[in-house]
Amino acid sequence: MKNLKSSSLAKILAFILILAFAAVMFISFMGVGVLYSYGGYSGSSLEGVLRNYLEPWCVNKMLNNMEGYRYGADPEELDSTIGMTFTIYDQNKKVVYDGLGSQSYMLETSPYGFWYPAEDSAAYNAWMWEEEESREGIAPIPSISPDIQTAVIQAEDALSSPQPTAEPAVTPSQEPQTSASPDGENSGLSGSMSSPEPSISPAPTAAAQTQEPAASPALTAEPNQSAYVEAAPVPVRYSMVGYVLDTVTENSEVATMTKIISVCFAYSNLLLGVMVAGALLALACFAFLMAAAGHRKGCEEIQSGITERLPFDVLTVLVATAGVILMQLLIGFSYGDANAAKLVAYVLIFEAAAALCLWWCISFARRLKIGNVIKSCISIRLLLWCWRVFKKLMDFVGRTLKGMALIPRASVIIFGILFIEFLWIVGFGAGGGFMLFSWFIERSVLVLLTLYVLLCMKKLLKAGKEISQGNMDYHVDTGKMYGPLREHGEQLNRISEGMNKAVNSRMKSEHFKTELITNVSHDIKTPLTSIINYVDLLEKEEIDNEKAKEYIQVLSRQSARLKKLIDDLIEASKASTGNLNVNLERCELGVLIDQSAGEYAEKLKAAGLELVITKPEEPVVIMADGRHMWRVFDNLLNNVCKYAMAGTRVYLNLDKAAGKATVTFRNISASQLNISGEELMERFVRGDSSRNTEGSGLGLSIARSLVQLQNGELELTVDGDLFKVVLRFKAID
Amino acid sequence: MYNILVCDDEKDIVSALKIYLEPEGYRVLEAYNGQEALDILDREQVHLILLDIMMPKMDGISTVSKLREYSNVPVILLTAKSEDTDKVLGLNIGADDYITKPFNPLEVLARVRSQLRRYMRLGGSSSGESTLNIGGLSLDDGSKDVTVDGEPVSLTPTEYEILKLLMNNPGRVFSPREIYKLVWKDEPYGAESTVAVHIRHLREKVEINPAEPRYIKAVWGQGYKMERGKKNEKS
Repeated sequence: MKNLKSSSLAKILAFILILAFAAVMFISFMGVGVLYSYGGYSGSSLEGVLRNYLEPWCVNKMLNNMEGYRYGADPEELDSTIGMTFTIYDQNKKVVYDGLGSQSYMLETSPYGFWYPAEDSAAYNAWMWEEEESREGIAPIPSISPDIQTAVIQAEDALSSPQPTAEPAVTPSQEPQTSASPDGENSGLSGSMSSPEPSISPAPTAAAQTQEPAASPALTAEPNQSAYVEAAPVPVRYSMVGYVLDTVTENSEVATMTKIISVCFAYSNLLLGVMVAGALLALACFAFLMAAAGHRKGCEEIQSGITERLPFDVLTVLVATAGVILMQLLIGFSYGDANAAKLVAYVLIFEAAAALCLWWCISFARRLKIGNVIKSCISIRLLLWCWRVFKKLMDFVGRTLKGMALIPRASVIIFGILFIEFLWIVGFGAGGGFMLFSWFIERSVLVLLTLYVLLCMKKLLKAGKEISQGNMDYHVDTGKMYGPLREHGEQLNRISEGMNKAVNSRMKSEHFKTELITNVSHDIKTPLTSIINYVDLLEKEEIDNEKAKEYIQVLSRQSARLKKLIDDLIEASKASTGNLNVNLERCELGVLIDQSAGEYAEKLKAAGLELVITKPEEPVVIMADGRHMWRVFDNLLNNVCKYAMAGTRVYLNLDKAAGKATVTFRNISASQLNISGEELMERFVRGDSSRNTEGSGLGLSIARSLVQLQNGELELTVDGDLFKVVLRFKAID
Repeated sequence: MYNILVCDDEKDIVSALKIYLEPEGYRVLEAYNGQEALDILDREQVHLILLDIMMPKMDGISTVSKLREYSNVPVILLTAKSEDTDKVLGLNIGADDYITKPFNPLEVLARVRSQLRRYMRLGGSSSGESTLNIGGLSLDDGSKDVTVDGEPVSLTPTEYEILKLLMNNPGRVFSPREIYKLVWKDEPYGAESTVAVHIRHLREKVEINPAEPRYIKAVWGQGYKMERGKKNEKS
């Protein structure tokens, strides 16, 4: 099979076979077609089929004769048509002209009525109408009379001239008609034509009757119109019967067709079989040719031929054009009488068309197999090229726009839209439904775009607000944004990311600092232990030198201070970075104040201070870590003992208002305070720098950090010499 | 004559402690890391160990855990680490006391004495039914005597009543108001801070270091409580 497929010989053979089978099929198809169109396959006899062919032909000729007769031609001259003749009857069924004479005939048509003479369209119309009606066997309706009535006056005169010429032929017409009927094969024909005859006789009488009453009222009504009517002869009704003669010339179309039909009828079934077989065989060869298309000896892959160099659509157009030309040729040939030469021409044209079609099909099959049907189309390529050019243009425009700064870009876009609108208006005019509609659509799109931009801007605004309020985790969704909006959104995201990073690294460094301070402090503590211990030992030695004793005193004091400093340092760094465990639990501030006051009772007395405590009756409870709270009170009371002026009162207030618990420490500073409360809370800052004996300067800072760790606030105010610390916590019930 | 093992990688600290301890009549054995301490323990009879935590070779924590496998000797940790977590870890692993650097020599002496008394003298001693014991603290309600590690302590009647109240309910937190009502048998009317003053005095008498009390603890913002006796403490 593969060998067969790649064999050129087989292919050429297949090609020729297809054409041959197609020709056979075409010829048999024509035969079948002719036979079918004349009823050859609906069970009629050969006579019926021939009649079906001959009668229209005969009627066509006869109608020409009628026309000629109506316009005054001599019936004998008209009767020269080959192979056919006719007889004319007047309205009384009298033979006016007999063209048949003693000739035998093959076919007789139904009688056809007409008016003589036919001057105006009304008469012609009437004839047409009459012909239709007479076929049905119904008498003409009197409605024709109004058109004729005006011509009644001259009726007798007008009729007189044709009548005498027709009269002599009346009698012989009847005889041959009856004598011909027993003649062989024509008997069936004569039988069929006998039925219309009785319908002829009542029709003219009816027409004649209607003429009389219709004409008289018109005459009496308008007598002065007679001069005008005179010109038009009064039409009289005749009927005509056509005959196809036996003596049809051998070479005439009728003879050929009759022969063809006879032969086809004889082999009608064979014709059908040949047609179907030809079609099937041609189809089979076609299938093989399609399958073999593109295969060549010695090549595995599909090969493209010369035809395939032509773009597919060009080939298609060429083939289609050739097809149209062939079709025109076929139509041109179909005019005129049919003969053998024409038949051959038909077949040749068909063969040419089939060959063309086959050629196209082979090429199509090859292209299908290669898979470049669409790609090889020059129109598709052209479209693709146009699309590429368009895309490049758009890219170029997009790049140019992108390269521009925001304001020029926006200006270019806005002016571009304006310009297009302008062109649109110029092109379509300012009015008109289409113009208005397209304008509305365009504007709607613009409005939607604007809304979209506004929506994006709203998102960006919200993001900006969130970030400015310290919500660093806020992330703008830039997925549905474009251009500068997206850029802006991403920048906002980057800001929050950058800030987050900064905050995180700062937290880390704070943590590291705490760690460092703690570790360093531990390392300092070990040598410090030795210093303290050996100073202590020195103190115990008996030393006579007073100065040495004094120096040892200083050493002792300063080493103790160093120890305190280190402890405070560790605590401060821990508290400020939140590097402490905080266990929040119920803490009664009243109790804490009592406990703290108890702890500091002696110390305060020693400092010459009087502590005044005021607190509400009911307990004030907050959520706090008791140990850290004690540390805060410890630091604050320690401060009071150190810096309050001796002999003054120290006020310690506890209040609860609006869900807030407030503890207030108030005392009079011993020395002048010339710095603000905020500054006092800075680490290592003390109210009086000259006082360097005690304290690290970290007490307030630690207190504030601890309060903040427990979700409270510490506020410090200096008002003259009044030193005030306020602690605020959220009170719970 | 008690043998005290002092173990610290700082020679100066060891010798300073030696200077303090020897006049008190203790024999001081010196070690400079955990391994040395354990070696000495194998050779000599040791009555108390003063142990640094951060040391080379073997640190104090692992030394204690090793030591506790076979010895009951009191251990006082001596360290620069002052965080709560460090203290808790040290005590849980089996140490008996904890002193942070830089230390007060007198405090060290007091704690050494306290531990030794309890280790040597009070082991298993039990008093009558009317005696309340918590750690080294004991209160005899019959004789109204209070002793800390065997040493008698003199308290005022109010202080005694407060101590008795707290020792009768170890672990329970009493608010100053409650204590006032129960001890003074009266409404406080704003005199709650008096309780705090008395507690402070009491602590100064009972505790070795009142700033870091072992028995009478303040629960800040709530009240006071008596610490429950430790499980691994001899009584």
